[in-house]
Amino acid sequence: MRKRVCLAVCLAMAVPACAQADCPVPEGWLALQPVGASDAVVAVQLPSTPLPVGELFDIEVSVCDPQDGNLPLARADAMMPAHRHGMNYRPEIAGHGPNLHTVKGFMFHMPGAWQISIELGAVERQRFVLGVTAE
Amino acid sequence: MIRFRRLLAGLLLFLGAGAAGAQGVLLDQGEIDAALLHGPWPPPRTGDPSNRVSGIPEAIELGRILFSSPALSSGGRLSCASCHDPDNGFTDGLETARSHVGRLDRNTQGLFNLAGMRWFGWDGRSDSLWAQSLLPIIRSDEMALDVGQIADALQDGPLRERYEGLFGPADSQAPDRNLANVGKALAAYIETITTGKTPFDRFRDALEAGDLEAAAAYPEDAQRGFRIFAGKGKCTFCHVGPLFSNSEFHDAGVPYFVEPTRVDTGRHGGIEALLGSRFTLRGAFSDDPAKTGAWKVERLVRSHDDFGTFRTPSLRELTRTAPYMHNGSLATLRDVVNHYSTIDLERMHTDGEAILEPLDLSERETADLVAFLESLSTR
Ligand code: HEC
Ligand code: HEC
Repeated sequence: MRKRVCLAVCLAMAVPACAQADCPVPEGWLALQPVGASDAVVAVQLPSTPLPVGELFDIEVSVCDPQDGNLPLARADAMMPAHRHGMNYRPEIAGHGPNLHTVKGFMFHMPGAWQISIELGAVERQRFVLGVTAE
Repeated sequence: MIRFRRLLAGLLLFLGAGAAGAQGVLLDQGEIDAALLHGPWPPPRTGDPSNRVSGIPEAIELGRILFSSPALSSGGRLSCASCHDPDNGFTDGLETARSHVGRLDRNTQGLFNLAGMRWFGWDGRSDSLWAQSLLPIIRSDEMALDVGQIADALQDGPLRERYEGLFGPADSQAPDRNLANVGKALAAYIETITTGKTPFDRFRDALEAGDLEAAAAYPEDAQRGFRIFAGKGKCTFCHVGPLFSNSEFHDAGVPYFVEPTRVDTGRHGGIEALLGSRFTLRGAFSDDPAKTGAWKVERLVRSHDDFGTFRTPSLRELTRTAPYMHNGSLATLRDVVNHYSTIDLERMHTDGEAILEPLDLSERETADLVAFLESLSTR
């Protein structure tokens, strides 16, 4: 319950790096917003802000779930909400370490607002999103 | 009033407030930042690791000879230069190309600055320049050479010695290997078809250097055109970077009916061709042990939106490559600007990207945008 409250406060305050006490977000990383209820904290480290257009880049993803320490990273993707299209190439998840993953091969082919989306879970999926900019 | 503004601009400059509003430079800081993204030009030269003769002078020379040699076509009818005329912007000036079978479906692309592209052909059917360069030789509606005859064709006069020097004797190699080698020599040549700095590049460089006096030499109509290009025109969503192309595929509202009952499927067909090709960057004919570019074909996401989309063309050297669009349907740059100004959303795919919309440009805005587009050419 306390965690939920904390999360609600975080969301209400729209503090990107705000996270639960047991799942601190490393400095320089960005916490994603859960779509629906989730105790897990997903954070990413981006190679640059803004992200490049027309170049391959990799992101680091950290997953912390106080309930289930082994939530697999099921999917990583990105789309442009305003233009209703995703990327033209599928990124590749290359795990290293139990809750740390490298996702390789993002390629944003247009400048503007993109949304990175990470899905966790083997059966039931939990989705997390982060708005980013490409220039 | 004008004098007062100039005075003010000078003062701003003096105070180090940036270029905004300075004499002769109409762009604000955001627009200057946007302009900087279209350079520097030329880009650094990098060889093609999938083509082991990329950058080798003997291969460039062989490619140059092959380019205008009819030996590679059935009956000696056509060479690359028949359609890609070096004296005519490496294109033919026709709406769509012509060959022995008559009119083809697509406009002949100019071959400038191709080294930096990710995909080749209007539909991106090739993932490397060498794979694209060998296609016309065997296509039945282009040079129509029987691939089994290519070794014979390479015995022709000046070709034989040069080919052997680079690749070994043609008749000891499988026809596909001959073909790939010829594609690589042609690509080595085409990589050298680059263009220099344009008026826009000099403007951009001056802005980068903070030399506003030099920047002010760029005509004001072209500057106003750039503001439309990077602003309400939203052109920079697709025409990005130094090449003014994201090298990806979009629907720019150009009809894709070739005949009332036949459409050009664009990227959709391009992907089919790519996936069926033995000449891709993941295949055996790539010379790159690391298979550097193979991710393009391996990780491609297919979508129903591919249908009727075409590769965003580079906007460099447009003054030499009329007519425009994949079907050559627009004769002049003014026609292109009018097309975007009055774009017919009904023609766009139902779930289009919602970027393009009629711009309703005034006569002056149209002229400005045309002036900007013209400033992306060296002559
Ligand atoms: C009959 C006319 C014709 C001939 C001959 C021809 N081409 Fe082309 N070329 C075209 C057309 C049309 C296109 C656009 C193709 C498409 O999208 O389907 C094109 C596209 C290309 C491209 C892609 C350019 C880009 O921007 O992606 C390259 C490279 C190319 N041709 C090289 C060659 C070479 C090398 C030869 C000779 C071996 C050749 N062409 C012969 C008409 C021709
Ligand atoms: C959604 C992506 C997109 C946007 C936005 C866009 N273009 Fe294009 N542009 C394309 C594509 C794709 C083509 C080729 C279309 C075809 O042949 O069917 C093209 C073709 C062109 C051509 C013809 C080039 C040639 O070699 O044939 C010009 C010039 C051009 N665009 C200028 C502009 C201008 C000016 C704007 C802004 C008003 C603009 N474009 C906005 C994608 C875009």
